[in-house]
Amino acid sequence: MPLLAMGVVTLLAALWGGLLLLGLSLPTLRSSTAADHGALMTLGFLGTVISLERAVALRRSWGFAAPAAAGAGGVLMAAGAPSALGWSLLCLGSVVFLLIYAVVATIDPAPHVFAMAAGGLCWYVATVLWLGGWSIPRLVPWLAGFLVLTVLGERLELARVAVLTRPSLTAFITAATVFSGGLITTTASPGAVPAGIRIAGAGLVGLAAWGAKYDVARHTVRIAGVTRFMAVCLLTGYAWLATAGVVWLSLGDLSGSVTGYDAALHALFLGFVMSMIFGHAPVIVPAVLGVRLPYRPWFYAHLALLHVALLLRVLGGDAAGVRVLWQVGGVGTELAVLVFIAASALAVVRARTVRRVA
Amino acid sequence: MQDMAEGPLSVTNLLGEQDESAQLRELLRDVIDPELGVDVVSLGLIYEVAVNERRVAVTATTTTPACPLGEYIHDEIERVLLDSGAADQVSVTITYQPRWTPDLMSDATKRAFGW
Repeated sequence: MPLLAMGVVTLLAALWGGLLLLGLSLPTLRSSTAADHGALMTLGFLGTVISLERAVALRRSWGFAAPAAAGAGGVLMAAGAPSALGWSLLCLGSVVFLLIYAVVATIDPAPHVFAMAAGGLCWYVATVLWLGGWSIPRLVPWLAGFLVLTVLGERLELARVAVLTRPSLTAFITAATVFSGGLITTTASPGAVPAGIRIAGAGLVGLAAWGAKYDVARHTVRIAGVTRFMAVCLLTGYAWLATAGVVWLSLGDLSGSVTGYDAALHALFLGFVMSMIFGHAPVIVPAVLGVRLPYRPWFYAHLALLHVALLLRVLGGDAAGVRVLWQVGGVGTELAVLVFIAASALAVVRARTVRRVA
Repeated sequence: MQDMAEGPLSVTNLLGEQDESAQLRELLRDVIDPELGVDVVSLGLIYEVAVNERRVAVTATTTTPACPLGEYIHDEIERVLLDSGAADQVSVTITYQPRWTPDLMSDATKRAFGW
């Protein structure tokens, strides 16, 4: 519980930073609150949650050092501690996270484990690059790599249920390799960044196409209740992953324009990753907190809000250049995250109440 | 007239009741993997159900050691067996020996997923 609490505190700080980046007139809290938005969201919050999930799965006490370090790094960063301290803790979290995968790989040396571990390696590389003096826009592809490869690795694992044929595995490995090759290219030299982004974008499109064709969600979306909800989150997420890939592919240099940067990152981190987080909450919350989170039909409300608000932000704001739509859409996506937390908490409380009465 | 299927000469009675372990395994069909919408028995995640008096020991697995569902499956197995009244004490062990493979799924489940 304390570990997840650190993640949530980091999330709230990240959301505040997001509102500042949207240009809203709010107290800045600290000079770096806005600038830290991306790192807090991807590594401070999601790094804590995902590594906590893995530590729970492995059931070895030392594994919890990963979410502890990531959570502490996020909280310290949000609180204004020296940035190097926060990033060093995030780096330490990634090292323990990789050790978890090393153990998992000895038990189950399968392609999906290596894909997820590659995601962990991206987390590590991102922190090392920052500590080496790189700016967030330069290392942001590696933050994307952490989350994309982690999620797709999980999907590859589940795809086995619906027959993982050699062509489907080959398609996955090809797309993941192209994506990873793009990330490496962005790091080779400043001049190679646009080419690297385009290669990574092609990989994202390939991974989205793989998901659309082979993900087990295509089957499970027919099963009512929580299973369908999770599948809908995944399938809509793939649409955003493909969108992000197209934007990366067409832009090349993500830092070239504010609107392009906004669309390239948020299609991926909000449309794909956050949608996946919404879908997996009914699994993650019971696993991590030991409480039941029964599915409720109203969960579709925050999912719909996320996607509609993001559409508004990307189409009305980034593509059409209407600032107020960009702001309304941006606030809407943040509201979706807050509604998600409130809806999940309400479902947990109501489940506990019902059980006590029973 | 008494229904032949339930009467003293019914097929069930002639063959004898399922052993306790198989009956408890059937109860575990109430434990559903939320992501796949399929019960853990059909997925082949239940390796063994051992019964001693009213104490039950279940050995189960998850599809991968990286899957966080272990605790959830553990708790649900306990809940289902205790709530059913079929057991007074339930212990659940999550193991990865042998590793789960999709071949362990039931034929009906494989067909449902397009095998």
